[in-house]
Amino acid sequence: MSQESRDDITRLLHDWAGGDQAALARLVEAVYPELRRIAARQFRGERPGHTLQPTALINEAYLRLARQHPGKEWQDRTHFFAVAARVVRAVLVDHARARQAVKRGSGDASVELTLVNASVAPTPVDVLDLDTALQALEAMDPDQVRIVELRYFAGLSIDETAEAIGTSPSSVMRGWLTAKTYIRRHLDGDIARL
Amino acid sequence: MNSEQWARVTALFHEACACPPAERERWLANHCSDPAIHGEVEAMLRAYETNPEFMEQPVAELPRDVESLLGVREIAVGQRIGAFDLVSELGRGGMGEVFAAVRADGHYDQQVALKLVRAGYATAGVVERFRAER
Repeated sequence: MSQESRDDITRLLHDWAGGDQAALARLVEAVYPELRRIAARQFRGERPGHTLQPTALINEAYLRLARQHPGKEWQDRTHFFAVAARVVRAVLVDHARARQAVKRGSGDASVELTLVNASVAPTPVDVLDLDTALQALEAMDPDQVRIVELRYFAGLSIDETAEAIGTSPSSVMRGWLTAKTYIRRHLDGDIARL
Repeated sequence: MNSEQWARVTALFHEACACPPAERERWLANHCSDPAIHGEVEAMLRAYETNPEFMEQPVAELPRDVESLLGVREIAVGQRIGAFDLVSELGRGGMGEVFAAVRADGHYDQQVALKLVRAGYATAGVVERFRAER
């Protein structure tokens, strides 16, 4: 990681801890190239067909970041789950795009992140469509997007999600039901008309 | 739809969901006079009722033991792991640590190097390499 991106990450981490929610997205963007390098390095040493657990990948990436940018911001559950859930979303979207590119014959199969393993369930929802729906929801209610990420991409319960974002379980429940129903409509092509 | 309108939809939708399904429509008519918001909440209720279990199964699970993952609760010299007391740290990496350890259950004297894999790293491949190293 270059010195420049290292300074960037420290600054973003600071902004985020200071309450700038948009800094989270930029933080994950800044972190993601490093994550891909870690994945590629781990794949190189493996036998063909060997798969990498995304959980292990995320842990590895997170630990590196926490060590490169020491600070108490990293050392709590709230920040871990917020970053990790967003990274899982990015990894799955990346994976789906790569798979699509390989199918079309234009992709480089070697960059594909392999996610086939027991800790990732086959998704009944198209990840790319889901991502589009989340981007649309982000403009109306970023908190509802955080809730979906924590629930769907990290597997947190309603209570755990409430703890992670510092709100009440009932408010998480309200946001969750609304957000997932909005996503459902988005996937069905029944998008907000206003 | 802007943030304020969406906040209104969220509140109405959630309250309507709390009503028995047969009464939702009437409740909504009594509590919302804006036709645009009303239509939006109605569409939400229809979508929700087709499959309330939608997305309830997460696509990925992350480990909950964040403290050990982040090294807040480190394994340290002096601690006992199984039948062994950790004597000194020989090395550490992203996947875990290696300690010099001595047998402490009194059955016999034995010095070992104890390699510990961090939570979330015990994939089939790692476990296999572990067995091969032994």
